[in-house]
Amino acid sequence: MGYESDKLIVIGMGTCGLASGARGVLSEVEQQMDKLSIEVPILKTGCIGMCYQEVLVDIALPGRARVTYAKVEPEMIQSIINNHVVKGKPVTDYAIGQITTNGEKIYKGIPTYQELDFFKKQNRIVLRRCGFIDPDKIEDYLETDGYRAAEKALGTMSPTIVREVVKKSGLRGRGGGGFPTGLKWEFCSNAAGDPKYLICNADEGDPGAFMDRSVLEGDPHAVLEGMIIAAYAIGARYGYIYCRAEYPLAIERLIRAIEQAEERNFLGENIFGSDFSFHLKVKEGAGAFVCGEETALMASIEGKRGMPRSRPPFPAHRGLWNQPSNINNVETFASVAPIILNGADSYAGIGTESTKGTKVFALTGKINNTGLIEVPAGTQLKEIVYDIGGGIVGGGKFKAAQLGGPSGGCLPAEIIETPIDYDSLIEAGAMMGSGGVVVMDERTCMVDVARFFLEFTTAESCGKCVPCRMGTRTMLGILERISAGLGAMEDIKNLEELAQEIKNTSLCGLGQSAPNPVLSTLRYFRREYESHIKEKRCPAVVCKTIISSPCQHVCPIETDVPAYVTLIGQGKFSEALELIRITNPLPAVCGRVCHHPCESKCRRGDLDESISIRTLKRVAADFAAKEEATGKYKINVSKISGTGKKVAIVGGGPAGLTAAHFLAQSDFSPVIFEAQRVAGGMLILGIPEYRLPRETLQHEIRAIESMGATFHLNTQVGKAISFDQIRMDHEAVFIATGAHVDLKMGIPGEDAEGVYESLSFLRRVNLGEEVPLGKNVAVVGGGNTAIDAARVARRMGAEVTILYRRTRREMPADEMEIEEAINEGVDLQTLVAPVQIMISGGRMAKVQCIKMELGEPDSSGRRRPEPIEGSEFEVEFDNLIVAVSGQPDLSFLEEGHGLSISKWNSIDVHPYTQMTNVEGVFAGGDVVTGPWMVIDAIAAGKRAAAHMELFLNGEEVVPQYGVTKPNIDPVEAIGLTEEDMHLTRPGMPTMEVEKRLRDFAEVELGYTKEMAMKEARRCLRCDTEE
Amino acid sequence: MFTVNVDGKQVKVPRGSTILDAARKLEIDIPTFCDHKYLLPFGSCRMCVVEVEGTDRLFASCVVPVTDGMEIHTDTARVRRARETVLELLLAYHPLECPVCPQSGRCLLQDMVFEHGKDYGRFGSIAVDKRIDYLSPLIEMNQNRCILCGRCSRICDEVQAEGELDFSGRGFPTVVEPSFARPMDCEFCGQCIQACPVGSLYSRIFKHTAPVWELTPVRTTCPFCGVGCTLSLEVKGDHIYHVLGVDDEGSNNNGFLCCKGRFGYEYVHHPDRITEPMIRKEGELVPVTWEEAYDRITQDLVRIREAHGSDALGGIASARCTNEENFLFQKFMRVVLGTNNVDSIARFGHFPGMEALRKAFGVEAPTNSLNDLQHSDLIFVLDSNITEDDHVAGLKVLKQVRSGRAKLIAANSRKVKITRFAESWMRHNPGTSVALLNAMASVVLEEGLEDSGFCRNRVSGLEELRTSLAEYTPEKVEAITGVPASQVREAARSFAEARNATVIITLGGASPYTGEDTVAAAVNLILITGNVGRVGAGIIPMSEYNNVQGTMDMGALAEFLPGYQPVSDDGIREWFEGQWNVKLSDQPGLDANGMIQGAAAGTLKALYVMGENPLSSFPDQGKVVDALENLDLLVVQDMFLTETAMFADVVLPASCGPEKDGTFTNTDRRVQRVKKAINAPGDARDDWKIITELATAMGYEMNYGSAMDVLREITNTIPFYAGILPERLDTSGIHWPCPRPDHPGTEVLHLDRFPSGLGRTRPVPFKEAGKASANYPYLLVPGTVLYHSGTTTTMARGLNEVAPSAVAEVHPADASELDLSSGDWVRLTSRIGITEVQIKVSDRSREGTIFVPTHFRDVSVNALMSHEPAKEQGVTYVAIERVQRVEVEDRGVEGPVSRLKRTVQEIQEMKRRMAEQAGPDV
Repeated sequence: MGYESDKLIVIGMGTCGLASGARGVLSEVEQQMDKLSIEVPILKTGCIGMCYQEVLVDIALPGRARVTYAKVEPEMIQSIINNHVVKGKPVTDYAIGQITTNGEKIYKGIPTYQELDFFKKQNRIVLRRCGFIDPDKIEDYLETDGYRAAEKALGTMSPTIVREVVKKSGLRGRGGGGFPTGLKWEFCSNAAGDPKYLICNADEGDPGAFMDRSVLEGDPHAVLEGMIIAAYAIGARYGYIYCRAEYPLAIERLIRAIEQAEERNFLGENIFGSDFSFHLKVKEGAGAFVCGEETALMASIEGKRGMPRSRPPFPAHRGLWNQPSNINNVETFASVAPIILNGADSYAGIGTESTKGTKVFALTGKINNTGLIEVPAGTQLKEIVYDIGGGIVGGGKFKAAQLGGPSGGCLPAEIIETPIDYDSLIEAGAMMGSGGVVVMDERTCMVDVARFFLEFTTAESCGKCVPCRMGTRTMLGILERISAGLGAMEDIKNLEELAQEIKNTSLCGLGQSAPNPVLSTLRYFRREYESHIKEKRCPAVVCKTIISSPCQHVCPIETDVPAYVTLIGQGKFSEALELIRITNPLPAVCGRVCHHPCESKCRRGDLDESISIRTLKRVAADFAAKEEATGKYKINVSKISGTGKKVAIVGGGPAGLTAAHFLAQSDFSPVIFEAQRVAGGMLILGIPEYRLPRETLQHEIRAIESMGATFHLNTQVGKAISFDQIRMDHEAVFIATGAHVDLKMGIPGEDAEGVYESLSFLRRVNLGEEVPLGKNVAVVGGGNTAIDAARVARRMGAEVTILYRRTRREMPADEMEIEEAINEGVDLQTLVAPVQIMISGGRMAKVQCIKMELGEPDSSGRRRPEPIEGSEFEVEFDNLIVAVSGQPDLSFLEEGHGLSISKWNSIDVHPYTQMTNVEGVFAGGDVVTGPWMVIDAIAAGKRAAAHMELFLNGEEVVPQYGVTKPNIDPVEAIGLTEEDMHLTRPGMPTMEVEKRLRDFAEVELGYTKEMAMKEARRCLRCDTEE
Repeated sequence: MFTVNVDGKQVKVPRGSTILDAARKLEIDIPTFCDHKYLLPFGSCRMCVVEVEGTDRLFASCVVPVTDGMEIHTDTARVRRARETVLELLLAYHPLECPVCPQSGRCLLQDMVFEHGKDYGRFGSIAVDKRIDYLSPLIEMNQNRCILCGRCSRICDEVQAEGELDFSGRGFPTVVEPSFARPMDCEFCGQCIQACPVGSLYSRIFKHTAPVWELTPVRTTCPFCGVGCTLSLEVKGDHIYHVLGVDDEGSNNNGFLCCKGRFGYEYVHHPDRITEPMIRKEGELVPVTWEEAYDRITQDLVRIREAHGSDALGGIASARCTNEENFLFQKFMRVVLGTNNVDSIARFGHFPGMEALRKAFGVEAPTNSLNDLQHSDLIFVLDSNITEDDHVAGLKVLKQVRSGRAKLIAANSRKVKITRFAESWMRHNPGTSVALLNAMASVVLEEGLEDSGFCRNRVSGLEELRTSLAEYTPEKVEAITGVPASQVREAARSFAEARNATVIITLGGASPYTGEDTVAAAVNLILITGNVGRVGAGIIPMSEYNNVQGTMDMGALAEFLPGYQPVSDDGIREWFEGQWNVKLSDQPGLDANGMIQGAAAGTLKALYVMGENPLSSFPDQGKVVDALENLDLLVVQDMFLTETAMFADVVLPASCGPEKDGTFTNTDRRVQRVKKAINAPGDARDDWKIITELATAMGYEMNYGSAMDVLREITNTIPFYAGILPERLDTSGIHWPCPRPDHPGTEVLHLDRFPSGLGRTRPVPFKEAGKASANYPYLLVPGTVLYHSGTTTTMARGLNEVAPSAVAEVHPADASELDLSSGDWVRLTSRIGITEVQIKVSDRSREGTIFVPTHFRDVSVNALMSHEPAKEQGVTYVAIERVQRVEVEDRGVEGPVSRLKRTVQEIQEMKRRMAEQAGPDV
C-alpha cells in the first residue's frame, strides 16, 4: 500500500488538543502508518469545540461518513488504524459520532453529530470551519467558500452597501458591548481623516473565555476576510490584530495566514484587483487585561502604557495615532463573511429581536461538556447547561453560571430559563461579555466567587482612576473580611453603595463593570453573604478562614475531625475519644449511625475517596470502651456538685441526652423526663439493633447519668406529670420529645389491617412487642426509615419489596444502607407509587400501583416524578409498611402553653439559640425539625445547653456564633508520604449475609486497629493548609 | 461656539471646550486633583464628576467636551455623593502623617476634606506600604502619600520632556516612579514637586524644617539666569525655607523653575558668607568697622587720583547686581571718581552681540520677548544649550515645538537635549557659526527665497551682502563647518519658508569671542527673510547671568552713559552734567579687558570690583593674577571671599538678591522687581547702600531712601525706562522701551521701522578663529551645566550633591586614542595655561573637542582661554594629558580660605611652569 489521498486522518491540534496530548497521538499515528507502510494525509485542525473530549481523531474514508474518536490515547491508535483506516471498520467502542457533509454513507451503531446532545442545539456560523479545515492552509479555506465574500464585496458592492448589509443583518459587537457593528463602521467611515485604521481586538483576557483563541487557531482566514470587508466598508488602509502574547499558536497561525493572503493579493496593494489597498499587522499584547479596553489597546499599539483614556473623542474620530479607527473583536469579524455571502436576512433570521445571529460560548467549570459552542442568540441557559453541556460534573447540583467574566454577573439556578441575549442578560444583572460561561455547582461559594473576580479586576485595574484602583480594592477588602468571618451586616450595604459609585464614576469599562460579580451575587445569593457574616458559616464550605477544615465546618457540632483522625493515625485511640467527647457525648452512637456530612465534603474525596470519618470515630469509641472494660482507661466524667439550678428535659433522645450532658458539665442539675421505659428516644425506638447495639447506646447513656443527670423513666409528661408542673419545678425547660407520629400517604385503604406505619412498626419491634407479619411485605418510601423497616422485616422472615416513586439515584437513604438491603434480599422497585390499597375480608390484600416517569428538571436540576396515565397495576402483599414521614406529638402541652407551633405541628424556636417564644422554654431535635438526623438533634441539644446556660445565668440569650476553630491546639499533622497518597479507603467489614437474617446482631463490624491507623493516614489535614 | 447651561446659568464656550472649562468660565468651582492648567486632560481622579441631563452616568468634567445645549449640574446629591466617595477612598489609603508631611497646610487632599467636612467615612484608615525613595539628592518621593493623579509624570513629560516619572505596575500597587524603580536622576527641576497636590513629592531640603503656615511668601525675581523667572521665596525669620515658581499674570515662567531657581537658594545661608568689612593689614585680611573701611578706601582713592589722575581708577560692575546698584556704581565711577573706566563681564560675551544688533537695528537688545515664541512657527536655536543655560526659556521652545506649532532647527556642535527635538540638527564645528549662517543666507538669495517686499522696504546693504555671500555657498563652506551642504540648504529653505521664524542664540558660552560676527550674520539671515519687526519673528540672544542686559542698560559700559548714550556726545554729556552737578570725562574709559591690561601694565592703579570675580570669570587667568597683584588698591565688594578677594586690600560684605530691593532686566528686556525677603547676615550691607555711603564719605552726597528712589532717578535718566515706575512693578514686569507711565511696554521691537531707519545687512567675513597644532590638537568648548549658574550655585549644598565637580566630556574616539576612560583625571594645557579636570567619555561632544564646564573653582577653564588679542583667537586649542590625582580624596576637608589660597597658588605655579615651557609653538 502507499499514499492514499482519498482517506483522511484529522487530529485536533488546537491548544486544548495539544494540552491533552495531541502531539503524542500524532506521532503514534505516524509510527503506526510507518509500520503498515501506508500513508494517509493527516489534517491538523483547530478546536471543534468538544474540548472535554480531546484528543479528538477523525477518520474519513472515501464515500463514508467521517467518524470522530474521542479522548484518544496513543494506545488506541493501533486499533483505530488497523480496523478503520485499513479495514474500513470503525472502532465503535471509541467512536463518539460521525458526520456527513456530502451525503456520504453513514455507519451503523455510531450516532451522527446531529444526534449528539452537544451539537443538537448548536448552529455553527463562526465556528463553521473550526475543526474541519487545516488552519495553516489557505487552500482549505478557499475550498470552503473562503474569500468569496471579500471578493463579492470588493468586486460588486460599494462600501456603503456593505455597511448597509451589515447594519441590516443586526450584527452587534461580540466583544461584549454589543454595539451595532454596521453603525460603528459608518461612524468611522464618515469621520474625517486619513489614514484610517482597523483594529481587531484579540486580547481575550476574561478568565474562562477562549472562543477568540479557538477561532484564531482554527480559522484565522475568517478573521482576515472579515477585516478586509470591514476595511473596505470603512476606507481603512491599515489594520492591526492586537493579540495577547499568551496565544502563541494563534499568533503563529495568524502571521502565516497573513503571509498567505498577501501572496494571493488578498492583502496589500490593490487587493482582489480593485483599487483598494489594505495592510495588516499582528501586534502582540503584553498580558494586561485592561488592554482589551479599546483606548488602552490603542495606547498599547502606540507603544505607550496601556491605560484607557476618556471617551469622547471616540476611536471613530480620534483613535490610533489620533486617526479615525474602528475596533471589533475576533468573533465579530468572523461573523462578517457569511453575512456578505448569504445576505443580511440569513443572519437576521437567527436569534431574537434584539440579538441577531449566533453567539459562541466557552463552557467551563463544573460542567460535563466543557468546550466551545455556538448557539442562536436567545437560547436558554438551561439548554446550554443541561442539553449541550451535559449537566453538572458528578451529578452535582447546578448553582449558578458566571457570564461575561469579571465584568459580568452570576445567573442563579432560579432563572435558568433566561434567554441568552444582550438585553435579557443585562436585566438579569449579567452581561454577554465575550461569552465565557463558568458553571458552578453547590461546592462553589458565591462570596468566594465574587472575591475571586474582584481580586482579578483589582489586580488588573490600570491604576489610573480612583474608583477603580481604590474602590475595587476596598470592595475586595470587605469581601475578604466577610470570607474570613469578620464581616458586619453594614458591609453588605457598603458593598452595594460602593459598587454603584464605582460603576458611576470609573473611567473605563473595566471599572464600570468590575463590581458586577458582587452585585449579581448579592442580588441572587444574599443569604450566603449573610451566612458568612451572621453565622460565620460558609454554606459551600470554601472560605478557608471560616471553615478550618470542611469536615469540621459541616459537622453540626463542629467535631475536630482532622485532630482525632491524626490521633488515631498515631494509635492514640483513647486520646482521640477524649477529643471527640469535647463536642459529642455520643461518639459510639455517631460512629455508627451518623449520616456523616463530613465525609461528603472531605477533600480527600476529591482525589479518590473520602476518609471514613464515621468509622474512625466508632473505632476510637469501641477501643476506648474495651480498655475501659479492662480498667486501662477511664472515661473522663466530671461529676457535678449537684448544687446547680434544676433544668427539666422532656424527652431522653439524642437531643435531650446531649443537653443533659452539657448542662451537667456546666454544673446545672438536668432532670430527664422520658415516657418510655428506656432512654434513647429514636436511637432506641427507631434504629434497629443491627445498626446500633443496645449496649453501645446504654454505655454512653450511663456516662451521662454518672455526670449527674437524673432520669425519670416511664414518666410521660402530660399524663404522669403536667407540663405546667415541670415548668414550675424547674428554672428552665428543654423540650426534646422527637417526632414519633407517622404521616399517612393519603390513599384509599390506608387504615386497613396489615398496613403498618413505619415508626410505630419499628418502635414496637425495638421494644420487643409482637408484631404479626406475613410472607410478602412491601415498604413504601426511599428514606432510611424505609430501609430500616425493610431490613427489619427481612430479619422477621418476610420477603420484602421497596416501592419508590423516583429512581434509585434520587433515593434519600444512605447508599450503603440501600446496598446492604439489596444484599439481604430486599427487592427494590423504583418509579412505582401505590395509589390504592385493596381490602379483602377487612384486611389488606393487594396494592394498586402506578408507574412513574421523570419529567423536566426543576430549578435544582432534580427531575420531578410524574405518573404514567393508564399504567396502573396490582400486586399482592400481606403487609404494607408506609415510611413516608413523621411529625411530633405535642399533645402533652396544656391549654394556654403559649408556644408558637408551626403548621407541621413542630415547635418554633430560634434556629440557633433553640429558645422558643416563651422565655426559659427551649426546644430541639425532631420536635422542632420533624424527623431528621441524629447529629442535628445532638447539635440542637448542645446549642440549647449553651444558650440555656446564658438564660440561667441571667444573661441575654443571643446567638453565640464563631468561626470554626480546632477544639484544641492543632494536633501536628503527620505528613503525607507517597505511600499514604496511594492508600485506598477500606471497605467496611460486615457480617456475612446468611448469618445476618438470623437475629439482630450488628452488621457492620468496624475496623481493626491497624486498618483504622492506616485509614487515618490518608487524611490531607486541610485544616493546616494556609 | 456652543451654548451650554451650567447650574442654570448660560455660557458660550468654543467647540472642544470641556465641561470644566465652561464651569470655570462661569466661576463655578468644581474640585479636581488631577487637572492642571498646563497639562492635557487626564481624567483620573474622578473628583470633578458632574451630572448631564439626559444621561445616566456621571461625567468627569475635565475630559468630557461640551455639546451644544448641554445642561450640566455640578452640585446635585449624586455628584456630591460621588465626590465624597472619591475623597473617602483617597483618605482611606492615605497615611495620616500630616505632622511630618512637608505639604501639610498646602495639601489639596486636606483642603478637600475640610471643604467637604468629611471624616474617614465608611472604610476607615487602611495602612499601605509602598516604597519611599530617600535616595535622590533634591527630590524625595513617598509613594504611600501618592494619590496617583499623574500630575508629576505628566508635567515631567508634557512640560519638561524628561519622562523621568511614569506609572508603573498595575492595579492597587500602581505607583509613579522612575523607570526600574531607581532613584530619580533627572533635571531636578522640581516641577513635579510643585505639581504634586499632596506630600508625595517634595523638596528634601525643605522637609522637616518649617510648617508651611508659618512661612511668608515673597514674590521676587530669580537671581540666576537671564530668563528672570518669578519666584516665591517662602521665608520665616531670616531664613529661606522653600521656593515655588509663581504663575500669575505678571510672571513669565508659568510657575515653572529650573533646579537652580528651586533649590539654589541655599547659597544664601552658606556659612562662608562674609559678614564684616576687612582690611589687609600686614598681609592678612582682618575685620574692621565700616567707617575704617570707608576711610581706607577714600584715602587710597584720593591719593591715587591725585598722583595718577582719575583714569588710573577703574570699576567692574556686576551682571548679578540690581539695575539700581549698577546705575549707582557707574555714577560713582563717573561722578565721584571722574572716570569712564567702568565696565562689566558683558564685555566678554553679551555686549559684542548686542553691538551687532545696535549696528543693524539701532537698539542693543533682543527684538522679541520669550513669550512671543508662541507665535513662531520655526525656531532656530543656534549655539545654544537652551534647556540647560536658560532652562525655562527652553521649556517655551519645547512646548512650541512638541505641540507641533513650530519646527525646530538646531545648530550645535554638542549633542544636547534640544538637538533631540530638532527637525534638523546641524552639528557644525565650534567657532564656525558665521560660515554656517552665511551659507544659509547664500542659499536664500541664490534660490530666490528672500522676502523681497521686506527687503525692498526695510533692508539696506543687500547687494553688498549678496556679493559677499558668493563665497559662502553651502558646498564651499562644508569643509569649514563640517555640515553637509544639502542639510544646510534644507535648513535655509525651511527658515525662508517659515511664516514667523525666531533665532535664539546664546552668547558668552560657546562663542565667547565671535559674538558680534555671529549675531551680525544671523541678523543678515533674518533681514533677508523678513523675519524681524513682526510678532513671532526676530532674534533673541540669551544670557547666562540674570542682569547682563540691565548692567549694560545702566551704563556700566566704558563708552556709554546710561541708556547707551555715548560719553563722547557733548549734548548728552551736558545733560548728565546738569543732572548730576559735575563735570564728566568726555573720554570713553577702559573696558573690562582694558582695565586688566592696564593694571597688568601698571597704568591702572586702583580697581573697585562690585559683585564680580574676574580671577574666576575673566579669560586668561594668568593675566588677571598679574593685574591684581600689580594694583595699589583693590576693593572687592561681595558675598563671599572670592579668589579675587584674596588679592584685595579692602573687602566689603554685600547682601545678595533675596536680601535687597531693586530691579533686574532679563534677557528679553523685561524689567522685574527684586524684593527683600530676609535680612543680610551680620554686618553685610546692600551694594547700593555701600556705594551711597562711600560716595557720601568722599564728599558727593547720595541720598536715596530706598532702591526705588534710585529707580526713579533711572526712569528720569534713561528714556526707554521712563515709564517703568516702581509702583508698576509690584505684580508684573515691563518690557522696555516703555517711554511713558501709561505705556504697556514693548514685547516686540521694530514693528513699523527700525530706529536705524532701514535694517542694515553687512558682509560678515568668516575668520578662522584659532588653529589646531600638533601640540594643541583638541578644541576646547567651555560651557555651562544645568545644575549651576556661575560659581554661586556651587555654594548651594543640594545642587552640589547633584553636580559636585566639573566633568569634562571627551569623545569616545579621542578617548580611545588617548587611552582614557571615564573617571580619569587629565591635564589640559593651552598656549597660555593649564588646568586639571576629571573626564567622562561621551559622544555629546564632537570628536576632536573637549567640553569643560565653567562653574567650578577647582577647574579653571579661564586659565586656558586667552585674553588678548581676543578677536583673533576666538577658540582655544588644548593638549590633553592623563595625570594621577591621588589627593582628590583629601580635598573635601579643606577649609574655604585655604582652598582659595591653594587655587591662587596653583595659578601662580601654572604661570611659572608656562614661563619655563615657553618656546616656539609648532
